[in-house]
Amino acid sequence: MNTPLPPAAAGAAVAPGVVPALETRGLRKEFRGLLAVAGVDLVLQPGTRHALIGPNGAGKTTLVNLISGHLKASGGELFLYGENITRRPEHRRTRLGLVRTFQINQLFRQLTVLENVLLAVSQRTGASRNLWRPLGRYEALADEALAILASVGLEDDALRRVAELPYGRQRLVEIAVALGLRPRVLLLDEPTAGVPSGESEPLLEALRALGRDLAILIIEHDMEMVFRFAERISVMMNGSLLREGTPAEISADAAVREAYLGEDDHVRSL
Amino acid sequence: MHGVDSRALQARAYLAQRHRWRLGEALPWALAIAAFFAFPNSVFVGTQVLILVLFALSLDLILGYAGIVTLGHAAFFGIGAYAAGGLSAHLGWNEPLSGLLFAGVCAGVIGVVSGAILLRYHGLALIMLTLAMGIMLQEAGNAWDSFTGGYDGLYGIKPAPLLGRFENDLYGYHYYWYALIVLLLMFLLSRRVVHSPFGASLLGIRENPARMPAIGCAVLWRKIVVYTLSAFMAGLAGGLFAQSNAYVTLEVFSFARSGTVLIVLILGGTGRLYGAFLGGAIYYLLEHNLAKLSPEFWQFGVGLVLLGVVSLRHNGLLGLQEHLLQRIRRRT
Repeated sequence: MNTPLPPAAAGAAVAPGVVPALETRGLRKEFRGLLAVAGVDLVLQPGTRHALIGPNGAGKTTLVNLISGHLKASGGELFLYGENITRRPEHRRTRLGLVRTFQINQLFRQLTVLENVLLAVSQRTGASRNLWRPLGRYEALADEALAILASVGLEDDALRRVAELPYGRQRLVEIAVALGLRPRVLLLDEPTAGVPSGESEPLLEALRALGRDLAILIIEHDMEMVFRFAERISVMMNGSLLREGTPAEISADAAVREAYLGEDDHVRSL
Repeated sequence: MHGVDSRALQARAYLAQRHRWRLGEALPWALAIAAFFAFPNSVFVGTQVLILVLFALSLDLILGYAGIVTLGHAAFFGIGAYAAGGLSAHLGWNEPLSGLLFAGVCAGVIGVVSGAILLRYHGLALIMLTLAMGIMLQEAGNAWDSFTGGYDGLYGIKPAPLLGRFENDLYGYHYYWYALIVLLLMFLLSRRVVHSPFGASLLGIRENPARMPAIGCAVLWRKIVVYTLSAFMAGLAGGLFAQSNAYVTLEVFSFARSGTVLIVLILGGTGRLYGAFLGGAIYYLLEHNLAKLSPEFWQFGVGLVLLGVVSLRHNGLLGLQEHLLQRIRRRT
């Protein structure tokens, strides 16, 4: 599972000869004449931990929605491991391994945690096209779902309904559902949103435990989390990418500090 | 290691109990059989109740499981009724089982075609579109009265004896068993489908349709499949209706029929299959007894009961019963 990251890919912005996990070329989104995303070129290296930061309204979530296919782009192109997926609908992109989580929980609240993950696993394997065989007889799928739950520390909540869980644990269910789809590229839209500070540690632990066969793009407002987790950071402003670099480069960048980070106490102390 | 194993066993047991048969499930069938012997003079009416239950069961598949709200489900009932009726009255094909199958298939075909268009819409737009479809079919039937008989009705439906032996006798005895067996088969099919992974994905669509594409689900196709199955079953109900009455009018397409089946299902409880059975029985008992009290205003009573059940917000009578059972269990 844990393919070690090629050293060349870890730090470099563009590693020659390596097909990017995800690449956007001039991705645009217009809402009634308003440019929410104004031609974004973003490259995610295989196995990378890449953060997308920027002030509210910068267009980060819109960009994730364009990449996942939740929104239709007004222009530009999108490549997943070299394959042009610009015209693929959302559910096809998901099946190709381009998986996202949501800023506000998008879970099946009346179902149990296990059923939530099982739903994802049975979609991925194609079992969900079966109208005849009872779900309870797919023991291999259930075992896989349980293993995923154990990997994010939810094994004791498997049979509880999502609606009964505290919010922080529901955020873990979001991640477990995404993992049930065996992502190759994982888009995390503010995984710690709404989680009380101090309770985001289990989330960070779960994310750090993920294998290097997976490239991650994370949107996050908690700067401490960003700097602990990400290897590369892109800064977005007014629908465009302002800067990209390593955490050290970004925190030292005067333009970024002035535009955005300067207001943040965590960063000032870094 | 032991802990993980016991968790896996627990999870498997939980998933297995979803589709396990419960003793209580025998009750509606036992009652249906008992009713036949207890009320020999009301067997014909009993058949109509079974047909209503089958119709409501078909609605439960789309409304209760996939969350598709429709005010035009009578369209499929009507198509089934005219398909089975027309086959006999116009083409002289009187063998009832193939006629019934024809009714289901016709309704299913209309289900695929209309579903592929309508199911792209949600909420109010979908409700209006299904409503419009019912009205249009009724008017089309009125315009094409050489086939449908218009509001005077289609006469001359003469089903041959079932399996060459069992006639539609004066009391409707044979047709009661015919309807009960068709209902049982469709119930078994539905029960299988809702407990399958496909059925689980329908629940996902009901609970959070926006999330489903993000877990790789082609939502429209899932909905079309279940809509078609539902249309097929509604068509069977309509076919049974035409055969057992030997008469069909354009009323089969009526908005009132679409509304009634919705009331039946909501009274009984959605998304649990047996809601159709309980709702069908209660609706009939209300209609029957209230009409005796006041032949003109019995619907007021139905409305009052519906008001009571819905305002309790426990998903119909079955939901209410579940809620009460849980409370009692918690006390003891």
